[in-house]
Formats: sequence, structure tokens, C-alpha cells
Amino acid sequence: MIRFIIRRIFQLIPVLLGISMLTFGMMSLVPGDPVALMLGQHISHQTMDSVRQELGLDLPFLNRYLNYLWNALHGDFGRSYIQHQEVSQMLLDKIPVTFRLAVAASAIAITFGVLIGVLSAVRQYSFWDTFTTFFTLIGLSLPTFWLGMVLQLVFGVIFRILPISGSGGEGFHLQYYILPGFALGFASMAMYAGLTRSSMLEVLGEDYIRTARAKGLSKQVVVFKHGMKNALIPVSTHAGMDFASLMGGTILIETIFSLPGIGYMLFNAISRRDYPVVQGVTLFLALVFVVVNLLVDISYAFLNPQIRYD
Amino acid sequence: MDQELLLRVKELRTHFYTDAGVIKAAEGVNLEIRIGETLGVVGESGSGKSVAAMSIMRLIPMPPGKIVSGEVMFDGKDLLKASEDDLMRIRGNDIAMIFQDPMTSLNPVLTVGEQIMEAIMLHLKAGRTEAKKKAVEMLKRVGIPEAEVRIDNYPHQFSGGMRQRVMIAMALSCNPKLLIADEPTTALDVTIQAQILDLMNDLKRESGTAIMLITHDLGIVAELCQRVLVMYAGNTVEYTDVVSLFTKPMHPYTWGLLRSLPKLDVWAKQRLEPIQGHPPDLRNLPQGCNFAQRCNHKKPICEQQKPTWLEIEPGHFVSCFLYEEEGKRHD
Repeated sequence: MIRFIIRRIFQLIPVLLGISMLTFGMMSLVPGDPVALMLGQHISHQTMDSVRQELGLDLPFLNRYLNYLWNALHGDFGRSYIQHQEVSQMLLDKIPVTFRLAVAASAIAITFGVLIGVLSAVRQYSFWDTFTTFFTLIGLSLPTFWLGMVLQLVFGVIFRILPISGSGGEGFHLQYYILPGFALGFASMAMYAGLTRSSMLEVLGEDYIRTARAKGLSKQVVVFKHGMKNALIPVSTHAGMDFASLMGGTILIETIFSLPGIGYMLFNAISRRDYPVVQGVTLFLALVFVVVNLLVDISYAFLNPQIRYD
Repeated sequence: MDQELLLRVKELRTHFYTDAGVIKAAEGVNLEIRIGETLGVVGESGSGKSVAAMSIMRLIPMPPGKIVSGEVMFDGKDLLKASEDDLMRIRGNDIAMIFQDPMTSLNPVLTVGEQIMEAIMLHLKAGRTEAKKKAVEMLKRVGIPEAEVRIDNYPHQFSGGMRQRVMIAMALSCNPKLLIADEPTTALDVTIQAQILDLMNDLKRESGTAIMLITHDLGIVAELCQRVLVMYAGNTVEYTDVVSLFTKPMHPYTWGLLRSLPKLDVWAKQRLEPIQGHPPDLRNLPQGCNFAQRCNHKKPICEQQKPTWLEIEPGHFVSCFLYEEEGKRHD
């Protein structure tokens, strides 16, 4: 197990290297001059050139990339062209907001998704089951940003129950995360519902479920004790990956709800060609993805006793 | 006689409603089991043995299955009319069941101890410590070495034979009056089969549990059972004590079954005699006797009417037009 984890950690190195190279390269390819965007239109060529030199943008691509890599290895991801802050510091400031949002979305998606999935599996082909299948389809097809705006309209503007923008300043204010969390997690919830339903249906047809029923256990115990744990193995594998992609999905939602997280930061950075910030956020999201992937593989061994000992 | 009666099934019908039509998996099942007795249920695959057993426990998946009619009297109670709560008290407590495939019948994510203790805590109202003690004792009784350690293991850490022992320990942990064993040894290799059957027989003698043993091995029947039920295409065709079955079988299907057995005392090159033809499609049963098409003693009435379940001799029931109530044969 330990050897497995160490090997997996070493495998992360080429992955992260590749990602950094790709984002760095792509940022150099997109049209738009960061210096012009930074300084405005009516600036002399001399000034522009000196700023370009100062930022190291006049160097060849490979030099710039190697410099970036060397600094990144020392924890320095450069400074924002716009805010002139250290990217690492900006990330540290914004990550909690995004993390809370992704946790809220995941919590909503898993709790309701699994519950809906289990209930529709237990009552296969009932009205409830048909309804949830339909709901799953809707949930998967609704664009996140549209749902976000509808939620803002209904709960923020018409009923005025929940705030629709910002994070409420310093610290953690739950009410600011409910609507964006729901908007972000809705598609995932539908997916969890579908996944849990099919997984549960498969499990309920297993021989050991019949054994459990033959023991005289109540339907609830059979479904939740004997069925759930087996049915949730594939669901849990998915949960890790889903959490990572929700972190990435925050870009749209944070922008719509003006939540000051890394998604919002990335959106602003892209529109202003703030290369160091874009690279920093992308690299961080990639890191989350690969680390979560690793955690999923490790947790798998704990959920399924057959893997631990084989 | 009747006071010793533990289970009586009368005209049980269980159908499955599928897209391909109604499958009449059990179409008139009749049987009796007395206290402490072993009943062997034989018949080829698809003859309704398992469906009958599952119907007694009311474990038929519904839908698509449905118990259409019949009566299952167990200990003075009709199980087909019992509430789900009553059934939960009976399952695992008064009637326990073990299944064909021990590899898939245990839950892979729960320890075997947990799975045995569950039933003990539920039915015997025992606490965890007490239940664990009882579970260890049961594992020892079924011959699992180092039971104190093995109780915390998961099913995949046991071999097939060991898993079936665990199933037996689980089934017998609440001292059931009836144990339904649905082909308990079919999935095991021959030496393990013998061990498991010996174990079941020993435990039966110790605890006085009646057994309904579903099998298609007539050798097992001869060795372990006091009474035998022969099933064909969802019907029970013959029910008698084990000696009569082998010495004076009455139903033409039973004759066929016995003739198709290899015999040690006959010279080696003699071919086995198969029953010609195939069993009928359960979705489309014939108007008359289900066996008529394959029967060498067929009469015109056999293709027009269903035979009735008659007690030809005391304790010997047959469903065939060859016989009348008094036991006279009419060929």
C-alpha cells in the first residue's frame, strides 16, 4: 500500500510538468498583448518595451518557461500583471471560498442524489422512478449558468430569502453558498441519482440481498445496510472526480454570483491576459484533480475489503 | 400424524409476468413436511423446485413474480396470508434458508461474524457480545477452525466449502424448525459436497430441524431423505417415502428418472436410458398433463385434462391418470 502511494506520487511529476507546459504554451499562443491591456492604448513604444523587458516577456519562449518552472519550484508563481500581488498569495486568499463552494455543491449533490437514486431503485418503475429519471435528464441538460440566474431571480429577487452575490465579507457565511452551491451541484446531483439508481438496482438483484431477506431483516435494513455499502462503491469513486471537476466548474458560478474565489479570479485574469494568474490557477486545479484521483484510489481499498487483502 | 405436521403446501401457483409472456413456474405444488424430517425435492432444472421454496418463504421478487393461489400452512399459520411483519419474524427464525451458490450468497462488504450476528440479535433479542459468543459457537459447530479469529474475516477470505459452512451456521443460529436448502452442494466439488451433507445431517440430528432439501441428485435423496417429492414442469407429480420411491415408483416421469440413473450392478456397456423429448414451455403449457408428450403410457384423456393430485396409497401421492383413488392401475 505504502509503495503504491509513493509510486503514484512520483507519477504526478510528469503530469504536472506536462500541464504547466501546456498552459504556458497556450497562453503564449492566444492573441492579445498583456502589456497593451495593462497600460492602456496611448502609451509610447519605449514605455511598452521597457515594461515588456521588466516582465521578461521579451525573452524567447523556452527561456521564459524554464524561468517560470524554476521559480515555481521555489514556490514563486510570479506576480499578477494587474494587481501586482504574488500569485501564490492570491491563490491562498481565494482557495477557501472556492473550496467551500465545491464542498457545498458536493454535499448537496451527494446527499440528495444518493437519496433520490436509492428511492427510485427500491421503487423501480413506479411514478417516483419515472419522475426521477425525467428529472435526471433535465438536471444533466440544464446549463449551470442558466440555473444560477433562475435561482437568483426566484430566491434572491422575488422571494428575497437568500443573498445572490458576494461571500459576505471575511469568514464563512453559509447563506452565501446555498444558491451557488445548488446551482453548481444540480447536474452532479442528477448524475449521482442516476448512478446510484443503476448501481443499487444491480446490487438488489444479488444473491446476498436474498440471503439478507431470508434472515428476516426488514426492508430498510436490507436496503441501507446490505445494499447501500455495496451500491456506493462505484458512486464513491465518482465522487472524488466529481469534486475535482466541481472545483473547475466554479468559474461560471463564481462569476455569476460574484463569489471571490479562484474561479472568479481566473475569469478576470483570462479577460485581462494576466498570464501568471491564469497559469497559477490552472496548475492548482490540475493539482487538485490528480491529488483527488490518488485519494480516490486509496479510499477504494478501504471501502472494498476485497481490494485490501488481495 | 397431523400433529407432527410442520408444513403443508396445497395447490401453490407462482407465475412470473414477463414481456415474453406469463411463465407458470409453479403450477400446482403440493407437499408436506413433518417435524424433524428431511424431504428431498427432485426434478430437472426449471421444474419449479426453487420457485416453490422461495414461494414458501415469500421471497419471490414481486414484480415480475406473483403467488397466484394456494395455501402454505406452517405451524398452523397460512404464510400466504401472513403480514410482512409476521413473515419477518418467521424468516431466519422459524424457517431458514441456504442457497446454491455460497460464493455470491454472502455480502462481500460485511464480516461473516456481522452477518451471522444480525439474525441472532434480531430474533433472539441478544446483545452484541452475547450474539458474538453465539456466532463463534455456531462457527465451531459447523467445523470452522479458529472461529474466534475467522469471525472477523470477510467472505472472500473463505473457500467455497467454508462459505457454505458459514451459510449453514447463519441459517441454524436461531434454531429454525425448518431449513430450506436449495441445492446446497451443487456449486461445490464432490469431496466437499459429502462433508457439507454430513454436516447438515449431523446438525439435523442434534437440533431436530426439518429439512427441505432441493437437489437433482437422487443419490443424495436416497442417503439423507425420509420422504421425496418429484416435480415436473411446475407440478408436483409424486410424493412418497424414500423406500417406496425406489421400490415402487408410480409416476411415469419417476420411472424415467430412475431408469436414466447409472447403475453399478449392471454391466458397464449398457447405455443410460434418457427420457425422450423436452419439458414443455412454461409460458405455453399443454391443455392436458404436462408430461403427456413424453409419456410412454399416454391415454387419450392425458392430452385433454389435467390429472388430479391423489393419495393412491397411504402417504403415497401421485398425479396421473393411470391410477384411481383405490390405487388400481388402468393402463
